[in-house]
Amino acid sequence: MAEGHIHDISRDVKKYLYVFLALAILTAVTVGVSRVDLGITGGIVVALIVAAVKGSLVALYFMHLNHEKKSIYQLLGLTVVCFLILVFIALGATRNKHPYYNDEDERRFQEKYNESLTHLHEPQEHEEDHGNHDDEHSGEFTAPTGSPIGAYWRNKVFNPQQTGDGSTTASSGGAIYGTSVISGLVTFEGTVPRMKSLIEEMSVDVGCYGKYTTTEPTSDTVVVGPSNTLANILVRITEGPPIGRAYDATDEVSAGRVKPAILDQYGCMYKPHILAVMTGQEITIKNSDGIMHNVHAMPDINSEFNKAMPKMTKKIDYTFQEEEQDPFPIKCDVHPWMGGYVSVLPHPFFSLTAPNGKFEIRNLPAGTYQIEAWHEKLGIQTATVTVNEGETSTSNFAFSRS
Amino acid sequence: MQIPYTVESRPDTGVYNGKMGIWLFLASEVMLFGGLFSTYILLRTGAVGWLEGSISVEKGGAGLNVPLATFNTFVLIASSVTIIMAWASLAIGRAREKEIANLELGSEDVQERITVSALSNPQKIRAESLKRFQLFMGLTVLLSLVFLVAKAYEYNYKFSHGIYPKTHNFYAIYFTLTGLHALHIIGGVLVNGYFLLPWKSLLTRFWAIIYYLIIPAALIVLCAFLLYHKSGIVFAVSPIILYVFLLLSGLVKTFVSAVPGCQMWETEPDRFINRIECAGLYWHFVDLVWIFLFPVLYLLPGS
Repeated sequence: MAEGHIHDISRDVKKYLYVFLALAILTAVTVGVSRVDLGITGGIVVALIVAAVKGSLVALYFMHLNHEKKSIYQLLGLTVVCFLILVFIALGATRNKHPYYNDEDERRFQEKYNESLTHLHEPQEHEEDHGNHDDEHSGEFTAPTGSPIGAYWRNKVFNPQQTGDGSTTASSGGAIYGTSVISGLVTFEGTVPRMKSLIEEMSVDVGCYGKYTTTEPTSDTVVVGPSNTLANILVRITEGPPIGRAYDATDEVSAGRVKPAILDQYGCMYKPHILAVMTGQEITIKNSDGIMHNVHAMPDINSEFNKAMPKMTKKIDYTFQEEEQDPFPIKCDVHPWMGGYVSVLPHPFFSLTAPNGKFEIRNLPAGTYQIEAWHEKLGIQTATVTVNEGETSTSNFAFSRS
Repeated sequence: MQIPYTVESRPDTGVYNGKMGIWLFLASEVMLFGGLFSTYILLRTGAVGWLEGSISVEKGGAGLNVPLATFNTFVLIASSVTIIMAWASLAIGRAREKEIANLELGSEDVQERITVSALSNPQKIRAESLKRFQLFMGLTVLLSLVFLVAKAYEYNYKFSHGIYPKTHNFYAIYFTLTGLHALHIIGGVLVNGYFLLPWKSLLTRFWAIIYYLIIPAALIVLCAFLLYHKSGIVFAVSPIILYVFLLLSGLVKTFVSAVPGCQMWETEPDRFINRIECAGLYWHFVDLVWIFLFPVLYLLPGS
């Protein structure tokens, strides 16, 4: 080009001005088109095509690639190939693959499965190994209890016919419901901690702080009610006659033994802060804020779950299929202070304390129970309670900052 | 030391070395930005939800300033045109210069020769094309600075509203991509600014003032101070010895002669044209990156 003729260069100068005009028009076009709703794929495709045309104009006319030497073309050809490899690596990666599902998990899962099959063929060994006395004389074989994967296979492999009506055809060995109740009061001992104000963090988003006109938003890690009663304590049975028996979430909800699970996002907080559900119970996740949230659940056993809830998504439903030994955290990646916990239990015998500190586990068959009271920061307390048929036993817990 | 193939083409590549060099550099830049675009794709496809740049934060988007970015797009496109016009003014001037030279040698027509040389002698053409070049290059630098100011305003707005790269993966990749691009703009401003002005004579004057006025004055004050405090005479005089050594060794002159800026147009015009072409190629690349960054970050719908 440098050794070009005057008239060639002068003609090129005219061309540059036309290219400039074309680029300006295409910029206006791409901005204009982005206001039209073409769907996600349509929007991306149109924007990238316009960008590609503009890029080609710059490369061909401004960078003189419309007539360049072969060596430059060869170099650029190689570059383009490498660039495309980079892009397609990214496009091909991790779609439909669980990032934490690796070979090790696969192996452990297979091991559990094989173990379960062994028990299917050799019932005696199963009884010796696992000594679950309720199932001993049942004539039905159950997978090892106590492990969530076991619970999963118990439902899916050994009792496939029970899917949907597990509560009525559960294995025998005593009633799976009763009329006994365990109730109690949870209190906080010591100086009540002042919870951190969130007003500064929330100030980035009017969708958050706008919901608090009369009160100041504070952290909901420890919520202490009047007369030092403690809210957000999950009380559940960990040992007792119902453990290891099959309960079906749909039946429990329709019979009113378990409340429908609703997790709302209001004022950039989770309501409730702690959610306890049964395995297979449908959770309705609402977005009352009408701003962008995402619900990021980090379970130990179930698949990780991360759903965006843009302002227009008012509600999504989700179900955790497998039991979780411990409550697991959920958070919103958009609003770092938003945190909560979800507990997924295989039975309906759990209760959450309200700010009045009271809990009540109903419909229990008579027997001796180990119950556990859990708080995310203040730890776990257990108690052994014996309850007779039709009676109410009381067990109180006192948490403190140790 | 003579650098080979600064003007004429190297036989095996068919281009002068500078052009091959800048294209190799641009190829590596493609991979640098390619890696980051790849990161963008990975973050976006891996995320269950992605923010839409043009929607405000209150409504669940990323709240990017689309009108300002559109303005910046026009600014960069215009700067691409001005830099190529800067190159073209040099190339046209040089071609005309050569044409006149050829005309004077080959023409039999005395009258025509007189007319041509009266209207346009080579020195005049060269000076005029430099003026045009400086106008367009100055515009390019000015437009780059406008872009940077707009970008700084955008960043400042984000930071003052509590939006940082850590806020969301969208902003992480937004700040990485636009930040790296802004660094490229700053690099372009430095290089284009270097080609814009006659740095050799500027620096000569600048250094002359420093070396023959400011440093001797400072040294005299220093020596007086040291002598007053009764330090050893050798210690007091040693800075002066160092200064004289520096002055004699000609380090300053070497440095100044190595940075001609646009003065190369007078000594090696063809090489200077090639330099500007390479600077232009880099600048068009920076423009090209923005042409893709703009829709990808600002316009694509969220999910």
